Amino acid sequence: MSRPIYDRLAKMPKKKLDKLEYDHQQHLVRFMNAKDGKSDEIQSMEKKYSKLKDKATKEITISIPRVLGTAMEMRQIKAEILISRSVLALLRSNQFYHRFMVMLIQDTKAGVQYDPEKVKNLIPLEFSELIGESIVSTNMDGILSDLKNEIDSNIGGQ
Amino acid sequence: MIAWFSHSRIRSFVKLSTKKQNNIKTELDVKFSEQRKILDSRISYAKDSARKADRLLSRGKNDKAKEAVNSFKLDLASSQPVLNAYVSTSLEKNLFEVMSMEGFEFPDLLGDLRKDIDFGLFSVNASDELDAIISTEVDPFTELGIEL
Repeated sequence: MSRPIYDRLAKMPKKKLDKLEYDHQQHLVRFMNAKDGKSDEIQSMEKKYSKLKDKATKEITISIPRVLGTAMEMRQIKAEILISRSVLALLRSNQFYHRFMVMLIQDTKAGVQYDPEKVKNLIPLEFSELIGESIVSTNMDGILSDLKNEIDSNIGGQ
Repeated sequence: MIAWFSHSRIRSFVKLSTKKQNNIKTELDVKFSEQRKILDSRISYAKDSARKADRLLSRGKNDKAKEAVNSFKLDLASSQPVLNAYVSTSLEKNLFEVMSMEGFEFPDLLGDLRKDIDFGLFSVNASDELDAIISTEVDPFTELGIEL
């Protein structure tokens, strides 16, 4: 198995770490902005979908054929929401990766000695924040404790 | 590995020159616009049929209203394959846009750590699986309790 990332960072000269941190910071901001933009987009589509659903609920009491046209619109918006949520998950994973790297680099420069336990403690914070920021937390909620262990053995190199 | 991210066509995109990446994206944009146009037109036809059925029903012309509803059903059925193709193209288009961002990383790390992280439609493999998901997930008719 390859050496844990914090070991590799610890062996790098400060100048290289500065450059690496700067790069990850730039990428982090880029993905964070893209993710926020996508979240806003989803929120606006969900609002639109909800309005159409209200409209459809009223229409259904008057005439079934009338509601069919509204349901067609709802169908298209729902497809767009599914696409955007999938893209959001991809942007979120990239944001997480760069944020994680920035933290590790900063701590390495500050002389923090990393071990699997310390890496493990970084993970819940990151993921809690990601879940909190995200509109769709999907099924990441239930995976934190297991993820901690797996990060421990995979990134930590145990 | 997540289904979409394991395709060689997708994996190799990041290694292409900017010019080649742009060419692929332009081709996809054209395909996307064409599919969108067809989809909009099918939806418009379906909405017209629904409006017509409503009008006829309110005038007591039940038989003609039934015909209009049948026409709606046909428009609805014919829009499904286009919707499926549109979703697939849109996913690919969006994926390439994200992959073109500086600093993009495939979520292999997270994917290796957990097999059940939800990457939404990107986790769906074959196109028939994608079609099945779109058909069931994107069904407001059932949600509204309408049986066609």
